[in-house]
Amino acid sequence: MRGMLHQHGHAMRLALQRLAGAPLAHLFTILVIGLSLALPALLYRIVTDASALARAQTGPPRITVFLRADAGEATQRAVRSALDARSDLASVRFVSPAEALGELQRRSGLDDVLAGLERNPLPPAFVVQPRNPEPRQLQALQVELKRIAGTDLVQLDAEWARRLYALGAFLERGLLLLAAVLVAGVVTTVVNTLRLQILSAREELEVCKLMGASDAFVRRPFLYFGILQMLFGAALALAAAEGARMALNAISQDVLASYGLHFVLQPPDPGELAAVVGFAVVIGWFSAAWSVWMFLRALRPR
Amino acid sequence: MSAPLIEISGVSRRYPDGREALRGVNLNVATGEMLFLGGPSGAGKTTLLRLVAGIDRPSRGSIRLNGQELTRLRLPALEALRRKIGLVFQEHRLLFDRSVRENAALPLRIQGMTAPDIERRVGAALERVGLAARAKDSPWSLSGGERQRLCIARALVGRPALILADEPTGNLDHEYGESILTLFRSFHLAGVTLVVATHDERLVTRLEGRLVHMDNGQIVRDGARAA
Repeated sequence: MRGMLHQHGHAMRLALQRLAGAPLAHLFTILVIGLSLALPALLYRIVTDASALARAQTGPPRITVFLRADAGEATQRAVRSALDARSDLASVRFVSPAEALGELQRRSGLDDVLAGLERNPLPPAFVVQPRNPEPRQLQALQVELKRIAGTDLVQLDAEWARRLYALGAFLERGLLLLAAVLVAGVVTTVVNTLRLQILSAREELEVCKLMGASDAFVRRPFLYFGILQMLFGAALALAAAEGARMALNAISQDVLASYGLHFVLQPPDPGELAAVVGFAVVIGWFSAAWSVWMFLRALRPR
Repeated sequence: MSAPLIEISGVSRRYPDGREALRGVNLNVATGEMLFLGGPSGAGKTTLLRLVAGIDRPSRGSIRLNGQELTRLRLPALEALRRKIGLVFQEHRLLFDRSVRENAALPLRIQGMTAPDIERRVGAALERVGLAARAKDSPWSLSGGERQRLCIARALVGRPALILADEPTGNLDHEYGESILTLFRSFHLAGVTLVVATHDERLVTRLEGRLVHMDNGQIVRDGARAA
């Protein structure tokens, strides 16, 4: 156990020595990594917060379940029970014919016309709010609600939800594509840096292998090197994204306030911070493992 | 007669370019024996040492080291075996960005030894080869003979039962060469098995040991004992 700890300590020391050995070159590499990661991190924050703002402005999607006009209290209770039993509904609200008529009078301004009606023509209804706003899920839910006995018409006002969702999906895919391109660039940069490190240490690695060093022994300092480089890059990315977020907030406050909107980009939550750090560790580890594997493959006994 | 530590049977080695470096070599080396592989450059001495060390694999034949068939061992087992062998390379293969002490410590670091143990063993090994006073120096500052002695210190620091040395006196003048071979003789007297490749057979004639002469990938003379 002590021997293993000693080997890890030695590997970490070697990795730090390599980083300190060419500080300017590694600083530029870390800058490239940091800026490449900062862009998707900032765009993710903008897309996420803008989507939340758009949803808040338009309100959650709703479905109105109209019962037959002659539906009595027993039918209303049965439909209510069926709706309450569904886990995919966030809320269920009953709208009586009288309440609906009052709302119609208030909104339409046709008080005299409506007052002249012999009886209230509006049916009882339930207004439900689905948990999942995805358009296909909403349509499937609409079909299922129509099957409940006593319902007459299930109305889904999903056009705005569909457009909003499509816009959100487009932005998310664009962001994913951009992130993939930038991550590929980061991996290429890190692999190239590691390849140069391996080439400069080639003699040492060959001697170690001749003396029976395991692949793990040879790989370990480079794994630490790759991970350290990515961690420094991730820290820089988070700092740059945070700086950009604060600058954007200062600008957007003035512009959006004139439209009566309040929009503030939120700082990353602990989960997002952990995701960035975890991502950096995985990419650093993978890049180093791959680079060393390519090198060691050439040294296998033939 | 001790049991063979190394058993080489019908070993051939053909390189990818078609050149046959070894052709049907048979050789046994007993535990505690000091064996010199003589012969001109290109005779196959280095190739044979590399096969015994498990650095390369034979194209045909069998190599058993301490009863283990090397050709059947997987890479991790081969590496573990190599960690128990002391290797002295013809071209030194020192790390010039490390100190003398760090170079000598390399096999122990590979073995995962702790710092105090490394310190103690390296100190003893450098003392043995007369380089204790140069521990903090760079290998750049060492003469050819001192560099070779550092290679030997690196080979013996793990206290191996077998040392394979490839032309350890190759680049040295006669006086330095003799001092190196005297060092090997002391290891032999301590019970270490030694296989030393050298093209300078005059040097080994003054030492006790078995001389195997190779030429053109074959053993052409075996058992001539240095007088």
